[in-house]
Amino acid sequence: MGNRIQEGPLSLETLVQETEGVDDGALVVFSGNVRAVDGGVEVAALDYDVHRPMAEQVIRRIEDEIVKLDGVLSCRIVHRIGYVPAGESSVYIVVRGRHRPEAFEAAREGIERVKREVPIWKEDVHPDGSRRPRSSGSGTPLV
Amino acid sequence: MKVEVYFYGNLIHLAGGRVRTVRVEESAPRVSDLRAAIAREIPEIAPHLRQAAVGMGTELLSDDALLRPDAEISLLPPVSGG
Repeated sequence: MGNRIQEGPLSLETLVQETEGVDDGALVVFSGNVRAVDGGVEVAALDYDVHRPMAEQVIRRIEDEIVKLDGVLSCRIVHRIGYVPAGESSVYIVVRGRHRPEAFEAAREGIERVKREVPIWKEDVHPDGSRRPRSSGSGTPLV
Repeated sequence: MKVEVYFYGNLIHLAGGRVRTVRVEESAPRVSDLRAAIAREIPEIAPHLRQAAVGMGTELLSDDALLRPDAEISLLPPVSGG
């Protein structure tokens, strides 16, 4: 299976294929997308920085722990880094479960844990090229 | 001992680049010694140190952990993925 940290557009189709099975009654996909306006300010893109080896390790650990939850059959998480234009996906969480409640819940836990635990940082890139980091004040400390 | 520190997120701008070399006085420095050295040598980073984690390779370190001279040391501000 591929890297959890990727550059360039993410392939949802690949994740859906990689998690295919015959026992799941639910497939839930969460896509985190770059908004064109954030807090009333125009955003052309988000530029993501990453500690790649640590992020790969943490995402795989999150996947492993989510698959251990009752009723969850598979989980794949990928996060895009670098320049991600407005309207495109920066992260996918794909979960298959026996039934929809546990699949929905697992997908929610997946994205919440990504936002809290994975060493990734983003900056707003505005249409005039100016930048504003999001990690100052609003991020989650790893300490 | 000289320690190469890799900065991430908004700390890159404050540190003036991805990597800075910091001089730590102790011969067997701990994370707390590195924090003090960073605050002394890169004052722009000092206000952000309390909320920044120190990594060695792929592990996060507590303040009393010893630094290995051959390991890659990183300073990680609050995360904001997704």
